Amino acid sequence: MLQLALILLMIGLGLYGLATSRHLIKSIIFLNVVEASVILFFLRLFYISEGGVPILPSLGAEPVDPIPQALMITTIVIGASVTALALMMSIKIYHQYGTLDWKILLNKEDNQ
Amino acid sequence: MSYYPLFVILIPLIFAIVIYLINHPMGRILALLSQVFLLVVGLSYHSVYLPEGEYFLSLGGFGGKLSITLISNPLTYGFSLLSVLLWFAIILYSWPHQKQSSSYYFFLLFLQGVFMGIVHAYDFFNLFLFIEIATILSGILIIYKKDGPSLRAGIYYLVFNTAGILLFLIGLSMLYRMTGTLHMGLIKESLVDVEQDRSLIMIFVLMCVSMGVKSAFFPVYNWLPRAHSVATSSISALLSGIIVKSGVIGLYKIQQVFPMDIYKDFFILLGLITALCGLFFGISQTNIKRLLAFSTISHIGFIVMGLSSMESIASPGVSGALLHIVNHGFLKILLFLSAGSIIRNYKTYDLRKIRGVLHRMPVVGFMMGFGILSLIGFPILLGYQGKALVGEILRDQPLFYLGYHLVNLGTVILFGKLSQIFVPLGSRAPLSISIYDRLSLSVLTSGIVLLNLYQLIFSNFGEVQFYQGNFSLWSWIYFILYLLGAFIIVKLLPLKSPFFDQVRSFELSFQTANYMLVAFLFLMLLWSELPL
Repeated sequence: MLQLALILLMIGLGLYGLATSRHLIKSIIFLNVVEASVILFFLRLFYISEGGVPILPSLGAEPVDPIPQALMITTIVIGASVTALALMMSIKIYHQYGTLDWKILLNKEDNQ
Repeated sequence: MSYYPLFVILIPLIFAIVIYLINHPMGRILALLSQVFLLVVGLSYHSVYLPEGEYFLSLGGFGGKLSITLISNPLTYGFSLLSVLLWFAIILYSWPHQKQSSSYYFFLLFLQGVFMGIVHAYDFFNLFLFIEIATILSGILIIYKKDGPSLRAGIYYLVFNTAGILLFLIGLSMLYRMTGTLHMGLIKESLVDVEQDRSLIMIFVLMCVSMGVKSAFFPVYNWLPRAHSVATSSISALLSGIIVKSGVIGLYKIQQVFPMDIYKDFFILLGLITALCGLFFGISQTNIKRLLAFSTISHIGFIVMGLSSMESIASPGVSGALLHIVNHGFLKILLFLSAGSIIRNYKTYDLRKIRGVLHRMPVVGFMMGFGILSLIGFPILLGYQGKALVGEILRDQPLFYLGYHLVNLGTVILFGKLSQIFVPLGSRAPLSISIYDRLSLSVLTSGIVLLNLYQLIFSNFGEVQFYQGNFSLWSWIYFILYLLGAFIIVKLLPLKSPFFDQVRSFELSFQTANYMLVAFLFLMLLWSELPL
């Protein structure tokens, strides 16, 4: 229960970070914090202490559910690609505007 | 069992990869061919799905409970056939502008495959997966121009939407814990007897909020006008017409699986506020693409109002919402593409500097005028069908019905403002429009006319019911009243006052948008505690 509470706290912390940080890279880091805690939350919900390997049920112990792990590995892949794309965009933005501050960035006039 | 959903997802993906690998100007011919191929495959399946037929395709061989499941029925069949027409028009439109870029067609076709995945997905995890891939792909397409504003909008879109979709994953894990499966049909069965307690409400709220972020509901709408106004016109059209609907389709699937009766009024209210907010900000815009983007928000509001009834497809509300998803998609793509053509020729985004479109670009002007007339709800035209059906479910609740008329009135004012580009002023010399623009707009317009005739002649498609009262006197009376009301309000409205300048430049910062996301979540949770 304590672990779940801590994980929920981490999700809250990540959202708080997203809502308060003005630096673009920090926003991306906090996005990763939220994502990591969501993955932890998912895995913690289906954790069985001293569970067996799902592919060899004959070993005696109660096998763990393999589905959450399969789903979460996919989520990790998606998260990595989002992070990569976001970091690539921030490099380009820095070249264009010379800043990574959300506030300055979004208020800059462009001659569209 | 029918393998059609697999074909519509995989054919665009395979063509996309081939186009990327050969990396040759011939690639765009392949892109067009892929649409023809999809159409041929689609038409060969018509006897399977029409007049009715529902199939489930389980991949992976673990049985239905755990495997990837795709659903196909007349509804998804109609969606996939119509999407071919839209993508065909967009590829044709970008033909002269994206000569060398095979990566452009790669992302475009990949997005089509992924969107088809969203339409056909029948388990929650794959719905999440497809929506997330669509987010990444639209992020790349938004920044395709690689100039400052589009990069700025692109990162705002990507980070905010990813943060929103993670909430869906939390809901998903709790749902899997509760039911032991991700298959929508099995979840629906296992939740029939379950009491709607707090944890189920929590799951519903988390999933709906993340879909709300994807489809730009009221407090979390701010990414949409940013992103859709800076991308290339063809991409704006695609995003605003189709991809933004992926969130609404997800919401529809969630509501079909576990309908929460206590949220009916909430969704009507949310739809109304979303629509009014889109109109309020849209009316003050002077950038033609931003105006169209805000109009998308208002139409999303309509669709949410229709979905709020949470009944079966055959009920007027849900039918109207599904019809409006398709109809608005077609019309908004037509408007965005013709706006792109106008912007390229007049070399300005400013509505106030564009005049005499009907004289200088008669073909584009005429088609755009037709699209506008349809979208403001001229009876018997395409844009009216879904709206009228949504209006029917609101008739019993006078307050909401009044709001519905207010939204219709606002739509007339918004597009009345857009129509000022038709005023013949200044030079009348005709501008040259590329043959591809004309071709693609003609394809779209003929598609719209055919779709319109279909909805007038027939009474249903699969389970989706069409609107029957097209020729009733009341629809015309209401339309004339909207026009008169809009005329009077425009005369009274001080559109040049500094107040509207402030509204026009009003933007939520990224931080505020995130606060809004959390606020939206808590607002929805609080609603379930209200004694209604």
